[in-house]
Amino acid sequence: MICLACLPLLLSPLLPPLQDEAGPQDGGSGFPGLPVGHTPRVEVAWNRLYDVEGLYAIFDRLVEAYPDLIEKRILGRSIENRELRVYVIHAPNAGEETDVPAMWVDGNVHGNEVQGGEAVAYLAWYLLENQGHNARVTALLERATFYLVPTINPDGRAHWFADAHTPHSSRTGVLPVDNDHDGTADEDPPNDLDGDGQIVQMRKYVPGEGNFRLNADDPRRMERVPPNDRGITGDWILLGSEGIDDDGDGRINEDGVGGYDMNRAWPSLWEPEHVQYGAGPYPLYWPETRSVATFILDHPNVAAVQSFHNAGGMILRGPGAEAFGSYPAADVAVYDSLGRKGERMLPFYRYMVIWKDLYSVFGGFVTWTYEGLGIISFTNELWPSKRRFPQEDGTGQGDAHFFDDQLLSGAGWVEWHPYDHPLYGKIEIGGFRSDVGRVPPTFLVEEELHRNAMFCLAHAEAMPEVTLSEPEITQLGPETYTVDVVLENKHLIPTRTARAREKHIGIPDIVTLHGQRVKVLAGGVRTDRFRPSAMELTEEQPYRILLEGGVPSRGRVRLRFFVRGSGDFVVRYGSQKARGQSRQGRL
Amino acid sequence: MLPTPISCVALLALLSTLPTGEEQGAFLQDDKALGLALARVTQSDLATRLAVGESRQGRRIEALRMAGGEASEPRPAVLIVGGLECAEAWNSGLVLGLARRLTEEYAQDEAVRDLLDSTTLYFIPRANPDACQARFEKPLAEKPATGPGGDEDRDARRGEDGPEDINGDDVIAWMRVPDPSGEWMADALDPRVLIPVEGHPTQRWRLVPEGLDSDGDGKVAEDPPLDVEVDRNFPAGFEEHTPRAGAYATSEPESRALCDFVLAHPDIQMVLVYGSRDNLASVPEGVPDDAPDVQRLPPPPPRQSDAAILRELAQRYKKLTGDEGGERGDDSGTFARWCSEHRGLWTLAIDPWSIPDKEEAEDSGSKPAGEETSAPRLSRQARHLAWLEARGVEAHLGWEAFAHPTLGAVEIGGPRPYAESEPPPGQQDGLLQGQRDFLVSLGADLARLEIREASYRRLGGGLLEVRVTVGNGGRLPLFGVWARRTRTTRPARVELVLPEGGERLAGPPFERIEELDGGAEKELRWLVKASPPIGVRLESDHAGRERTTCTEVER
Repeated sequence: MICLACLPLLLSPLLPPLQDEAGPQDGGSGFPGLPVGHTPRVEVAWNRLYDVEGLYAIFDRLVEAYPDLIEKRILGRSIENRELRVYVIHAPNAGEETDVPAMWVDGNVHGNEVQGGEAVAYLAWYLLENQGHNARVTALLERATFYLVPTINPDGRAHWFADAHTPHSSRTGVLPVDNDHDGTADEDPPNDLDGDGQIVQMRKYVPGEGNFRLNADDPRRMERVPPNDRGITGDWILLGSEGIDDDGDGRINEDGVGGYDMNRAWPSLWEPEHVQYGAGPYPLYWPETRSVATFILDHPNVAAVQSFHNAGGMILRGPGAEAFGSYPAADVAVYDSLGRKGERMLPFYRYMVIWKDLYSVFGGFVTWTYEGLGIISFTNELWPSKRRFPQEDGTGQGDAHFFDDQLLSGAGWVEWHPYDHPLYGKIEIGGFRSDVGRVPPTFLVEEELHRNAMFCLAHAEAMPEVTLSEPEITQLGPETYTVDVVLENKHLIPTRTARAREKHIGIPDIVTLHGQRVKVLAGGVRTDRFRPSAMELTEEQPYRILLEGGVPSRGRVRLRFFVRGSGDFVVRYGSQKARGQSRQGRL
Repeated sequence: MLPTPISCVALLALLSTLPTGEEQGAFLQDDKALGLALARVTQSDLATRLAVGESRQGRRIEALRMAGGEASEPRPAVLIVGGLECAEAWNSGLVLGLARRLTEEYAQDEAVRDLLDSTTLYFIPRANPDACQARFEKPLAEKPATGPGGDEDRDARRGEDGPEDINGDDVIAWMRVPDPSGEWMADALDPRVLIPVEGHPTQRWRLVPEGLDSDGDGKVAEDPPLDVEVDRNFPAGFEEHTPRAGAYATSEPESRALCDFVLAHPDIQMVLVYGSRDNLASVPEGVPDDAPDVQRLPPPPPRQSDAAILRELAQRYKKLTGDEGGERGDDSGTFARWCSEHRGLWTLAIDPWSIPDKEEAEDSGSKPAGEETSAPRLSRQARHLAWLEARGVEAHLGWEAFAHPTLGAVEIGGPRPYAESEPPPGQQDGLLQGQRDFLVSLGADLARLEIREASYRRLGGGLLEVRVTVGNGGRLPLFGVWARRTRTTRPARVELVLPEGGERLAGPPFERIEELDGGAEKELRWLVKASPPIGVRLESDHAGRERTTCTEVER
């Protein structure tokens, strides 16, 4: 046992090479979150959000600065042929990348939910800047791999930055879909009528015939006139998002680019379009989703999953739908522990169950990675708007204007201005910009990224790490012995979740005993630490004990082999989600 | 992947040298023979060859598109699929036989001509060529799985202990092992046949697939190298975490290719899937048309109105084919279920042949519950064996003693693979005729939209009242109740084509039609200001297209 406080001293021999290579600009002591005396090797402006090229450029700089620690791989390509990149962070001294548990972190499967990409980038940056300097990060990277995908939907992201959008549009990918069933795809999107690069709202003055009126103190704000029998009406109507009837079918903005949801496309409890909008005709229909799924299926060492979305401030876990039922109690305990820790780390975030506390989702990503693959998985909905006014409710329309006026100098608001609409005649166009509402303002971006990255760190630290005790040998008779070993997992996440055990996902953990002059007569798992004879013996091949349930959360598995023979033997432990171990002994 | 026509010019030269008289009724064809037969059908002007996809082992999956008359005009289509399961490799020949018969009869047979001049037929004779290939390989074995193996025996090794031909007879059969707690006993009248234990037999057996304990775990042939079955790998009713279903729905190239083929052909209105499952044998009552969702999930189809239509089709099928239907079977994750449940297509799963068993039919009839007959009777399995042997089929391997290295003295044998699932040659001609008659009959069922009336009436001041009547000339509704829920096929659209300067004063830019029963019609009205001619355009992905000009009627 090594005390944590001593770790920096013990690890100090690792430090000089990095410091030497870093040169004078390197602060030399990582960048853990303290504002004095630390300078990162790669400076990134974490108060901005980046388009696809900008986001990938951050990673490119990290790859250049830390070539031994991070590697770029191409998962596949998007509909518009953009690269789907996964960045693999893996320390050379951690052994083979796939021999240690891995955490998968992704963002931006919904093209408009952009800051998840920066959260992934921040996590990469934080790990790399602190590896070799900070004991916690160094220890983690000695026993964990990270697979980081900054954007699963680079097309949606690219268009959200490049084109006129609302905060909510460009959620989809860009494969054309005939949403209005008129035989033509994507022919009636919202239109940037005034060419200002924003899709905002349309309103029309209809004296005495409307259902909205202007707020007496702030005419920018629209108030609905309550239904009444006294003939009180408003002078305004709202006409929806900026647009025209491009296809002349009598509807406006009903068939925009794409028109599907890549977070309804994953295989577990997947349901078709008539149950779940945006699901596509079969699971993993779009190349982005299939590429990601193939990668994850090919990496059974993934033992933790985090997916970033926006908005609302939530730490979400499945089930996504009531029809699933409940998760096993042992796994819920793991979820609860991490979720509650997250609530403390992320102010105004609530730990929630998707279907019960938010809405039903069939075919969601994190429900697939848990229900299908048995991996503890969270979705974080970034940016709780309550962060604007921590001391008060502050979520109304007036509050949004106050925040924009006082803290953003009005930059987030497009003033109502006249426009001559081909169908509605004289109207006014105005509203909040696309980067208001679902993403934080500059001065709150960094905090959001940091706290969420640290939540990932906490989740990654919970991944299993198994130790195998030195064999304890007891002689039973001439050349006959018992060999006892104990597997111990000090961390929260078991090597096999209850879901994995129940559904036979992956392959069981395995413990073997081999020796050239050793025959294993019997073997099995001890079920009572005080009663040696309480055992579950293996049926066949006693030298090979299979653990369908793995090594539990913060628990031990005691194993006993009955052997005959002499000389050296070796006990080996293997798991898909924990580093293998071996111990030697001699009879 | 979009299907593309395949050039077969070179093949035609080769085919011209082949004998023209095919063995009528020789349904069972290996890939090569099937490919040649397919090419022969495409010699007809009616048929085009399409690529569907490629199997996991790299075999081509192909389709035939067959249409007569103005073949390029959109019209209703029927998809006919065979060869989806290993034991049904023979029905590829049946499906292709149907295609060939229609091309041969087109010139002379009015009913066939009516069908092909108004309908597109897509034939995919062998949707799962890898599984079907097992039928032609040695050792002979039924190998339904073609996708990756899992760790079925949970020993942290995948696919390491599969069945094998251990007695070298070129068949992977069964081993019967004497076992006092075995679940099988010999039939009293035909001791070759094993039946589930009843009473207290003197000899009980355990049945184990022929093979060894290759992984030394004490179990024999319990973890085969392949597990995933294509016709369990579709999304509807997909059994997650079941080895035969696969890692996820459409993980197999064959299932994805079939899905993509259906998606690329929105003209498909009906699907016939030949296989071991049968949804015509006993069509369920169905749930009420307006059955509410439960926990946001709709109760599985059929809806009652759709079930009534399926029952009518089933009745006709039985009458025309003489086939009383097979077993409904478990349709979890099947192609047929996906077509029906997720795509809303009229889908008929047809098991076209099973061993006729009068006694079974009688047994399931009027025998009072609990009545026992004292005289021993042949078991169902033995009756089937006798029926096959009477027709010269070597349907049983017998039992041969074998000293098994871990099980000791066993006997290897049992039913010959495929014997019970394949119709003997003498049965095949009648089978083809019945299926052909049923297929031809479906032409009159398909929903077909037509413009029955298109007229305008002058109201004065240059205003015209336009009336268009659209009818459904088929027996099926334009969309069944369930199809209106799935909305996978676009509604039909009717729109006016006005001359330049014409203006639509009342009425929508185009009318969507989602409901139109078989034989029913619907009148649409517009008010326009225009000078004739007034055109009308009717478009439907799966029920035809028409364009016409309105005629003037008196006030």
